[in-house]
Amino acid sequence: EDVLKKKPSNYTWGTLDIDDFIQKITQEGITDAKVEQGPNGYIIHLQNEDTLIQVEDHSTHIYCEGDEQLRLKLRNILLQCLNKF
Amino acid sequence: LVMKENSMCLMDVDRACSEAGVNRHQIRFTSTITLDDPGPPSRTAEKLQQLIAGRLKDWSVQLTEGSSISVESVLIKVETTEDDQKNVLVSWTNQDEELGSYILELLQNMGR
Repeated sequence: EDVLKKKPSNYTWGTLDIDDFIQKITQEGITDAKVEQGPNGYIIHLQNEDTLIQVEDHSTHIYCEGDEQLRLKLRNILLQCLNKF
Repeated sequence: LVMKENSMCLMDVDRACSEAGVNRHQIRFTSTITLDDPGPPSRTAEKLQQLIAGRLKDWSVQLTEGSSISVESVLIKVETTEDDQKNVLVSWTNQDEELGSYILELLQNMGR
């Protein structure tokens, strides 16, 4: 409990560049991404990883079934693709 | 802390961003855990709330409607599956990454 910080490290802003994101996850070995256009943005399916990423203009939601290493990898790549302050 | 009309004021980040015209990009994570805990989902939620509140003594761990628990932006929702198990959805924003991943790990390691 002591290690939990109450203050966030940074905030993200802007819109995610899907092509940039897909290119970066491919470089990290995730090669089965399928991108579908939805009503409010995109849905990225990672079938082998049992993971779904819902991307809208001002939000990204990662539904990841319990694989923490994969989730942290996706989080790192996502943070690289977005602007921060 | 925001400089505005030659004076300084404190503002929460959402308001400061909207006044400055910055489009925040909210990141949220959701992971699911399956539990074998017979009984109504509200009873499971109560047990989980007690477990989390016991570990996070400095935080407000609230039991909310619909068999859910909230701690800051972390939401925990208990649902019954078709084969009478419980799905526990743990969801949090990137700002609460440490808290969210801590609670997920706590629930994943429960009973091991």
